Amino acid sequence: MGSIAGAMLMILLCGMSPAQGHPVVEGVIGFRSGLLHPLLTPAHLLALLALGLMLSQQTGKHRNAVSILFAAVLLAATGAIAAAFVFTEGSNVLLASAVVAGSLTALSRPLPLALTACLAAIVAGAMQFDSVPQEIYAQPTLVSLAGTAVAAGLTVILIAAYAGKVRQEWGRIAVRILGSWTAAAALLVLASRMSR
Amino acid sequence: MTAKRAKFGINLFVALSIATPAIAHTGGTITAGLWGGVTHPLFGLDHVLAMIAVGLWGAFLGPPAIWLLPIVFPLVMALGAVLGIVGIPLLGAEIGIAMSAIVLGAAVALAFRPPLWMAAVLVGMFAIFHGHAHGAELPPGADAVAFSIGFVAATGGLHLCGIGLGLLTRWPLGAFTVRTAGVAIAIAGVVFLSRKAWAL
Repeated sequence: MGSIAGAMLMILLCGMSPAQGHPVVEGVIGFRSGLLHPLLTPAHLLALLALGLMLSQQTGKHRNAVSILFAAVLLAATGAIAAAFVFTEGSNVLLASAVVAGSLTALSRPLPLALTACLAAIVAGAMQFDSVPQEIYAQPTLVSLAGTAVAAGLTVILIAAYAGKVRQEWGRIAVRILGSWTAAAALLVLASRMSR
Repeated sequence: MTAKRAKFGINLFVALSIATPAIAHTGGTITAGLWGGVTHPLFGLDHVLAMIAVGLWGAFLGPPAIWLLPIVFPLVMALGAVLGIVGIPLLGAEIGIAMSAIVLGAAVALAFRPPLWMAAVLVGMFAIFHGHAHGAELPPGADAVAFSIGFVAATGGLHLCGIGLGLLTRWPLGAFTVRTAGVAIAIAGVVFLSRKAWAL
């Protein structure tokens, strides 16, 4: 599993090219743009990190089930966007999800499958809704969103897989600390946005 | 286990060798936000000393307090920051920050070991004051995320520095050094408090 996850990480990083501007990266379009989007957008990355860390503390069966659900919702969200459905509060929903998932990580308790599955579904859906390019054309949009789905799915699965392997006490504490910091940072940003 | 680590190391090395630097349009903003967040807590001596004192005190309290502090403190501090961001006033926040250095420094100097709940309430109360003071200074806009990540990481890093220094208490000379540091922090707190009282 370790070498497979390492290979997946390598493939993901090899697929990246230099980032050169906005929307997320100037000059990079299509699938690559979608790949980079969740990795270069801090709100997305916070949510993926918190979700991956939270899943790492659950059992292997639990983790696999939620990972499959996460991938399924990413695809479903892509489909929803193809139908030109636009959701404007995706970024804030992601930050709120990061607060919840990070706090649950800090608590470090076994969680009901329904709760983690629900959170994964919310993050996956909101991330796709928040990744729609400003100008929507059917084919480029879908290609870009497919890239986002691949990057987001791999990020969560890799974080959950690696953090789930931690067996030492200090390592588990480090995961909880990271979860707490993620939740705190997301909470600060949410409050900052809400106050504007 | 060693073979797996080696595989991961090779994979990571190859990936990093191939990956090229990101020159994103948003990159500069994110970097500036992150750097601003990291440096923000480091330029307030009262904040720095209080955070280190929390870590030092955690070392005296021992497990589980020593590890619970960096988990709980950032979350409680973020709640305090929310109050500051949304504009809810907190009476005597600046006095509370100065008092945090005095009380936490004294607790370290005296090697005070209260029940865990009492220590948690005390530290949590001071976390609210520190968070409130910083909350109002969070920059609006897209780089607020990067700023917040840097800010929380720097605050947590100060805690970990305090905990690292606090581990010296395992040795008699180290315990004396840490308690002396507690005295210095408490004295600095008195100076902060007198300056704030003078300014009123």
